[in-house]
Amino acid sequence: MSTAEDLPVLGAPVDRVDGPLKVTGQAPYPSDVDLPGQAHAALVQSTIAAGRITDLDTTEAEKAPGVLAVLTHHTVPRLPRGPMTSLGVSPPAPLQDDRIRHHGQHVALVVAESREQATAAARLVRVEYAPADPVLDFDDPRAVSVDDPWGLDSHRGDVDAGLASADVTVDAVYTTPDNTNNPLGLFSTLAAWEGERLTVYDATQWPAMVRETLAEVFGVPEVSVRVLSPFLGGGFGAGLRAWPHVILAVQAARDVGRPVKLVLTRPQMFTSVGHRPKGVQRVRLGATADATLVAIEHHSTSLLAVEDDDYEPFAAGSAVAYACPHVVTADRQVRANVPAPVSMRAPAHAQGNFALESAMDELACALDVDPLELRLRNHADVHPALGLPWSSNALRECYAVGAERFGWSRRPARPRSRRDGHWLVGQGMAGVSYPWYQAPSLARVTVTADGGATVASSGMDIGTGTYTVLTQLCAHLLGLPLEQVRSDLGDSDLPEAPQAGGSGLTSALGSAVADACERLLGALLELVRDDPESPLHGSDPEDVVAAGGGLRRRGDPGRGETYAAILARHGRPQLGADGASTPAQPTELGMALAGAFGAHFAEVRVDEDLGLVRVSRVTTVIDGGRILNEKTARSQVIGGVIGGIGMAVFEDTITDPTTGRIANATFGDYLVPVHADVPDLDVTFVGEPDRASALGVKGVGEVGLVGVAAAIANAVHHATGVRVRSLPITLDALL
Amino acid sequence: MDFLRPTTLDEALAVKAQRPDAVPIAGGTDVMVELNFDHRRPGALLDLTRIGELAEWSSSDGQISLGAGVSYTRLIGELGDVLPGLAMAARTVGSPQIRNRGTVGGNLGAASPAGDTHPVLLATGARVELASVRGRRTLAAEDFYTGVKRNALEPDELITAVHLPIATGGEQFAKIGTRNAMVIAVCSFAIVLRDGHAGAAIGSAAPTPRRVAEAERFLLDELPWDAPAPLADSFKRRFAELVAAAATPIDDVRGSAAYRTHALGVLARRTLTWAWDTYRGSARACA
Ligand SMILES: Cc1cc2nc3c(=O)[nH]c(=O)nc-3n(C[C@H](O)[C@H](O)[C@H](O)COP(=O)(O)OP(=O)(O)OC[C@H]3O[C@@H](n4cnc5c(N)ncnc54)[C@H](O)[C@@H]3O)c2cc1C
Repeated sequence: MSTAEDLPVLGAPVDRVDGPLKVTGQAPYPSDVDLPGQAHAALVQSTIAAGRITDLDTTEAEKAPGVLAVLTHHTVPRLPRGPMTSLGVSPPAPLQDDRIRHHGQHVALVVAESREQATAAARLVRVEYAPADPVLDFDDPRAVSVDDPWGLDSHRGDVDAGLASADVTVDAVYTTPDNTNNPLGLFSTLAAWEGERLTVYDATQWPAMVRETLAEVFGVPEVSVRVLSPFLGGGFGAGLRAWPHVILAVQAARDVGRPVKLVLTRPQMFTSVGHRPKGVQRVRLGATADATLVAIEHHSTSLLAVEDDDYEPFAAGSAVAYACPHVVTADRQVRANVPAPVSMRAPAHAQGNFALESAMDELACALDVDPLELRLRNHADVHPALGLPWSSNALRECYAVGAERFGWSRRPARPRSRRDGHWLVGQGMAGVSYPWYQAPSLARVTVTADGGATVASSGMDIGTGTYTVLTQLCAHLLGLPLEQVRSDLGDSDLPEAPQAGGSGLTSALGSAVADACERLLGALLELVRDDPESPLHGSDPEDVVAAGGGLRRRGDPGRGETYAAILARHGRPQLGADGASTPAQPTELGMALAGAFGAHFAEVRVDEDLGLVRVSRVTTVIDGGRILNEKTARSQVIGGVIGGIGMAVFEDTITDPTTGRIANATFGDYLVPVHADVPDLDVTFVGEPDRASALGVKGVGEVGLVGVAAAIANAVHHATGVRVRSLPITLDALL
Repeated sequence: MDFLRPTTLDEALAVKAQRPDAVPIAGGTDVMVELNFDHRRPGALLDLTRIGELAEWSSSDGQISLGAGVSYTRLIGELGDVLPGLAMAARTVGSPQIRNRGTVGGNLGAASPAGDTHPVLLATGARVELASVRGRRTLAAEDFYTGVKRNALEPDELITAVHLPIATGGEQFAKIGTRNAMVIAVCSFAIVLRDGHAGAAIGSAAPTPRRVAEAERFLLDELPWDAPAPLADSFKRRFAELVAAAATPIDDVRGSAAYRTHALGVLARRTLTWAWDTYRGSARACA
């Protein structure tokens, strides 16, 4: 039994199947959902970064029009902290005591008949504090630090000996600021209790985790909790945790006995749903005169909340980026009175790659070799730590194709070689080795009486195109036209899938869908094989294919029948099958599991007198394994590159150094690229299906962002001769 | 909050006289932001968008009378050739949506030191027309800006129009933003050169937008008006120094004071070159 040979539907640049729903306003984003009788909530947040609440007076707020309840640490019962998830601890439960751990911490929640009434009454809550002196930066001697937080520090060879043997060394410190995920859609939670049954519409990237968390925190069985997130206005990692405001909305709904809806404001998005933490990285590289790397040492320190954790190993990626005998990578986190960080698109790698690939550029300059040549000479032909062959690796092709498309060979070697009026023009590049990640997943595929099929999973589409690629995949495997396949996603009642995050969902969930399709076809085949009335009666499974909306004899498509016919004759309204996928194990395979690879080539124009940096061209080549949909994959990479441009030259969450207040928590002040900042982006895919993934897929949701900042900073150096080691590259930096 | 919607200017002025607390709203691109953030909770909003007279412009005697309620989009499309400096500033405002709604009257009403039209209005010698039930008056633009986000409007007054000369020489506006669009000026500069007039003004570099009088005087006295030849670098540098010296900027998240001062000098040098080139071209065309 096999499925139809490569129909054009898989890999094709199919339009988003959910596109029409979205552009006609019919896709129910979390904040669009309303329930009868719902009340609205508004948060009160602390105006100090550390200390205690000495008095919290809600009298005025409670008397305000429409107010139903005011939740504070006096009213909220002691709630347990959520569970340990596969991505780490849950955030601390909210409103449990009088302690303030960061500016913008929730200190009360006002529930009222309307959002406006709740917002107005929230301003009437009087909070008195006994402020303490907050710890806000790395260098504060009171700060507690955590060394090697994930046991990922690596030591290979003898880095000191390596450095000593080097003809040329680079030793530099790179800093990256706090960046805020800032999905366009404001995060919102709508919670409704019916007895002990809880339904929550939440802006989450991981409905199954939110269900588990709420069940544990509120002491109800998981089966009685349903979390829905069928559409999301972006997440970039902000939706990977069950944040305190989610818990508060659920508590409020329990308190007032009505559905409660809480929509964060944009400023609240800066303190309530995580951010990419700032960091300081020191990189030492050593190479022999022939441009062979002999030592890589990468130390990072990043900022962490006082009572929360975050997975952010900036340096770890440097251990496997290049073939190099002597390597040390070490990560450290420092606790401060800041809002909790969270994964933000390409966590750790966005920052770590900036440091490593900037240092590689500095090394190329010091060696007087072409930066591309330096990377090629030190290419990791096998996994540098395991010594195993990669399950797939087209990084060399990324470099070759990118260089060709960009015209890299025409780049003058010397900085400050090209000028156009008052603009200095420069070109830079960076390589990317993104890590592999996958988690176990389930999915169900069902054929229905109308002859079509449905894919069902709790996994959700963060906006990347999951609906579309799963629909394509299922249509392809069952031999159905796209229009006859529907995907139901983002509902925790459906078979459990992991988070939309870590660039791992397509491979995990796609493989589970493929498994379900295979089992479903097996079950269908069993029905027809033993059925004398079927044209396929007695067929050898090897001779049957899924095509034309049903099962057909291989080579004899006239002999077969549709799924609708099979179900009808057997009196079944539908037939479904569950599928599962589990991540591959490198040792069993004898291969190192490869994530995506990539190369970026950037051109910038720098106004010599004004320091303005304009990105004029970016060429990106990605090895994402098998690409299920050229169009949605390209959009992912384009979006990633734009995020990288933001990281390079705009994005900077500015915290007031004395109060810990975020000074630019609006879209007017926190700059992200606008259309006029984004040049035409040239994106190409190369490579082969990955051998460790059932589908050959490697995720492409994050890799496009990584390396852009370094390519731009390297281009700025090439344009101006000025090395900027601190992001973002602002006007003042280049004068 | 009352929402008052007069349909004629007289009606609006009567309302404003009765309800001086009523906040005028034109495009709303400043007012609505303030309301959303609850920075302001006025007793009434006075909607000006139904008053036809405010949304018109006319031209006579080499002057344009620009109604306070003409949108940036219309200004760019309908007056770009006769008010090139103001149109340059208008093109840098916000985004297409903001330019569809936003008005010069609103820019004046808000009187932000970073407002983009102000340097041009100052440099070209515009006059702001104000009206109340007590009558009409006009003020030179430099007398209109009185402090950070403060202006010379009396509580019963509305801005009705701005009067500006049609360009006959060179006009330039330049703005530095931290990105290419949707950005508040880090600093901005405008210059207007025509026979017998040299105007120059800075934005986002002092508590109010302001003219740079010494630099203007230098241009008027020293430019080779009668035999317009290209300018020496030393001349441009001197002008740039005078402009930079007039700035009293602050440090903020968008840029440091030192950067602003430096950048104003660069903008002054560049825009002088361009404006003078245009002036020379127009002088030749007339000869
Ligand atoms: C996203 C965004 C981007 C922006 N970008 C820029 C930019 O790049 N450059 C820039 O300069 N500005 C910018 N602004 C600010 C704003 O768009 C401008 O100041 C615009 O000119 C305001 O015009 P308006 O008609 O919308 O004014 P409104 O918001 O209607 O009014 C502004 C003020 O003027 C008063 N007012 C309006 N009309 C009158 C009148 N006829 N008589 C008396 N008082 C009056 C109002 O009471 C209010 O105080 C931006 C705003 C937003 C929201």
